[in-house]
Amino acid sequence: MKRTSLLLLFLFSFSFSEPKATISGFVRDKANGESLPFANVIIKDLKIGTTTNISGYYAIPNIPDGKFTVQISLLGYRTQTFEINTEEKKNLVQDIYLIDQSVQVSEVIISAEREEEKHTTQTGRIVMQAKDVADIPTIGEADVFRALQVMPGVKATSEISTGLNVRGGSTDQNLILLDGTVVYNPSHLFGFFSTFNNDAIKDIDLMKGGYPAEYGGRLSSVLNVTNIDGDRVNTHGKASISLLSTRLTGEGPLGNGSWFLSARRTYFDKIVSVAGLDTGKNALPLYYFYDMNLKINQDLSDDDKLSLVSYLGQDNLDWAIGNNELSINMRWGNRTNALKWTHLFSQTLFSNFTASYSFYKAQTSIDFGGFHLGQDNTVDDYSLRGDLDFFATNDHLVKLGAWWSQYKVTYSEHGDGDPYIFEDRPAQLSIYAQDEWTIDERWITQLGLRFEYQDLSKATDWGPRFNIRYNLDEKSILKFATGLYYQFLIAVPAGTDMGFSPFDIWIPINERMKASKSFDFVLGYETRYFENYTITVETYYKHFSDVLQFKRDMNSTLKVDIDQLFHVGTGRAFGAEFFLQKRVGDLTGTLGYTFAYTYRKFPDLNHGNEFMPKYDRRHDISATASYQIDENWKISSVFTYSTGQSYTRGVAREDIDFIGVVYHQTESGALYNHRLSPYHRLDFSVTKRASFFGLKGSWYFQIFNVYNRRNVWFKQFDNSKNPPEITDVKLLPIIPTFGFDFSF
Amino acid sequence: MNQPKKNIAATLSLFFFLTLNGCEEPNSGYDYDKQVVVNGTLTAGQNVDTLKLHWTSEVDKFYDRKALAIPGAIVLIKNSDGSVFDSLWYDTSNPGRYYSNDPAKKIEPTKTYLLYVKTPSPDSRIVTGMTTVPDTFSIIYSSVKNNDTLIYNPNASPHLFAWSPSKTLGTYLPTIFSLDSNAAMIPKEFYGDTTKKDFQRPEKIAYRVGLPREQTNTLLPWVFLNYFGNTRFDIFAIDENSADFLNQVIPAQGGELKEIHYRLNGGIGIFGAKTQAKNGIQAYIKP
Repeated sequence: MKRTSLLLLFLFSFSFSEPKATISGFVRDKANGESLPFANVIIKDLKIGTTTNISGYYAIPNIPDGKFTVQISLLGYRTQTFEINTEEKKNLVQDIYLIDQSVQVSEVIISAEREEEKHTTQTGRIVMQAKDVADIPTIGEADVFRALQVMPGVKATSEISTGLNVRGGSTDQNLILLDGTVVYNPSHLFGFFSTFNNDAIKDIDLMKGGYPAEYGGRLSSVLNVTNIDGDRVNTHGKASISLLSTRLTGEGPLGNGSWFLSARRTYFDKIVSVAGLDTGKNALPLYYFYDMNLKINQDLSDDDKLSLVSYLGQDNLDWAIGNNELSINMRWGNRTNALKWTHLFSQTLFSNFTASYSFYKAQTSIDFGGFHLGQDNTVDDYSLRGDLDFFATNDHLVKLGAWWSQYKVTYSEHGDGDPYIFEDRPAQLSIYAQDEWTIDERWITQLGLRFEYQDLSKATDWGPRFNIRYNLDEKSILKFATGLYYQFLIAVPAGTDMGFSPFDIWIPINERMKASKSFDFVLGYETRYFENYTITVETYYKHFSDVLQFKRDMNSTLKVDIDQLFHVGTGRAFGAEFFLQKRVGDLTGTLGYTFAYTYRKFPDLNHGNEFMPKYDRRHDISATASYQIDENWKISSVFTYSTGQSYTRGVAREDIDFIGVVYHQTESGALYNHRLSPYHRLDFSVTKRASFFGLKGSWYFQIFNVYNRRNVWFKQFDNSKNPPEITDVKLLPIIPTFGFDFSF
Repeated sequence: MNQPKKNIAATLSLFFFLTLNGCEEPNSGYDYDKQVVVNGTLTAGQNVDTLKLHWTSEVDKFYDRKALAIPGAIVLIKNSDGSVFDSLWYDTSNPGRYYSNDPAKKIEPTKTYLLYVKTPSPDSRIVTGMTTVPDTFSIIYSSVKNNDTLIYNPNASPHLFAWSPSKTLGTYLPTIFSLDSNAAMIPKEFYGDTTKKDFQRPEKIAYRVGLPREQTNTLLPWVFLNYFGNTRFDIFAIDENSADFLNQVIPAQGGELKEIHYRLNGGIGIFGAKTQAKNGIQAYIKP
């Protein structure tokens, strides 16, 4: 208590004893009032500045007396400048409204790009907006995860999975946040689509490694998806229709703030039902998903803002096979609700306090011949979080925060016997402190420490983080990051490792287990030497310890103690990534190349030898291009090539008898010691602006897998044949889709 | 060359170097090493059952069990203290099969037995294993009565079986046997709907797997029945080795290849034990 008081006294002494002037405020989009994170605000004459935080807030303290020019820049917006006179006023509160680049002249855009991320020390960061996602052709509709999967260092287990494998990490090692609230299973349609509706997204911020102390709880990456706040100026809406779904979005001013609502629903079930294909001998499943995003923002005063963020998404599948001999019903989905209070204690002490609730439920029910089997899995996450951004001096941005989560994890099986019910209620506390120190014009460093405690395992872990940036010159920088990361919740794959993830079961580690740990090193180089182009090269090395791999022989049930369910081992991943990006002009695009190795080692797997898991890829090349032909027409394409994924090959064959049944068995050789053929695919889309009954809009036509490459999903072994028959199970063929949207 | 250009050149050179050195590693060849396959299950109250020994074959070769039989091995069933309980004899007329010739030696429930196998030279492989036999138990309730005649009705309530608890077991294995060699298959819309050949040829034996060891009752739905005619309903208590084997092998029958862990040292296969509930039930199923 005494220490806390001293800390607060220290912070407030800084904030209340400012000897010089301070300028602060929010940076917003002029057209709709949306706050703009990651904008650079600099005082050109003094060569000091900062970057807006996730809420779009900035503060520059300790400005000496005088007249200065403040410059605000953000890619995609007109760079803006204005004058300040600190002799006249010491505490300047200045909200800044930037104008979208669509009314921009090219020279100034280039200037904005040069200024982008002037101060960040973060390595491996990918920042995207919804329009970047929309430019990536895919099946059905734009999807955040599919857009991220064409970035270097980010891979999917397969093209029908939205799971992300980031720099050698498994899909459960990513912290996925929607407006600051953890989303546990961010997928629809058995993992084919992510839960994130692109119409609702403002920013996507992926940190592939070396992420700062304010984040924790996962070993590999942090994905921060921020939804649109809502237009503070005008009320308007948008409707979109694709072969997959219909989406409706509305937003507008509300009181001293805004509202935003977006919803979508698929209609495969309606088509099947109307066509009468859901009954009879060849019944198809009735499947649909829906989701809804709601955000309400209110400015209670100049210093207090309140926002309510809500997400609801669910998948439903009902399938009656044969003459009701077999009936399968599945439900899964997420709900998140968060209430965020943003408070300015002073110009230099910014705070966010969030109370959130995240709920995930997956339910399977199978009935046949009066026999019922059911599985339920739920995760309840009640969290309280407080984050302070203290703009202590021009050189120091101090961040402090705490995150307390109370989880309730349940898993139950219902059959003919007594139901099996597993329930755990772990609590987790995280406290962090970090300081970003601008040493001089060339050196910026960020030092952080995160403390984590989980009450089931009684684990107390300290995660130091260190990032440093060196500006080689005006256009080129070097970055280095290292850190120690811990994970206390693990996802048990639901019986398959082919990339389906909606029924993965999240469970906490117990008192006989250690938190999984990774130690990251990242070295990066970035240059904007060529006008309009950004080139980034990063190398990384990760060491994993106490990583867990589900024992597939456990009959996919939790009928034993949690620690008995896993192999415990180590791992390492290293690689290098090259990334060329052009975000300005009629032709924009990216070129990414990743060269990587990923290893795992478990004493009781693969005879204790290291193996390369399925998501190991030696080479991976992705290229995206988007060309604005004229005011109305735009074409986009994406090409990906990667080393075939590893698989386990059979080496021996035998028959084993057991109570009258002969099992024809193929023995595996060394795990994942062979490669499928290389994966490659080209997707293409064309978009045209148009009007529909007087409403402005656009239509699009996309071709997925243009040259109909039948990539291999996995090798299937048919042991009933002698010798066993091995067939390639293929991925998706060429698929054209179309859709249109219009605004109102 | 100015400094930024040097930096870029150095970086790109590094990448070029990495790319050249990152050439695809070739798929490694077969790492086949033949292994001894043991098929042996002890049954409580019975003599030591036939134990089979074979070699594995290479995966792309035709598996000819007779040709791969291992003759002339030393096969010993030992007590838990290491003393020999029974020594099995090779039957030259049935390649790969080893028999007990001492009918007085009965497998005792709850007792632990060890396996010792030594193949003849030049291989001289040694395989060892251990199993504990589940305790005796009996069916205490069945909705199907012995010698019933039942009319197949997939929409009727499933059959209920309950039994007294056993001990020293891995799990229970409710099992349905079709006893008639030429029994007619029960037509099912579900099987008929699919093109998978597996569904068109259901096994004559159906299991319920995955029961927890504490569970002493089960429902067997009508759709589990695959054949008309004389049918036997049995409940087995199987040891840890057998339960572990089934848990791994049944999911591994299709899809991607999985690594199987056998509870044997020096070989693969199964050395397990089972105890059959005392009062199995037989019924006649008709359309």
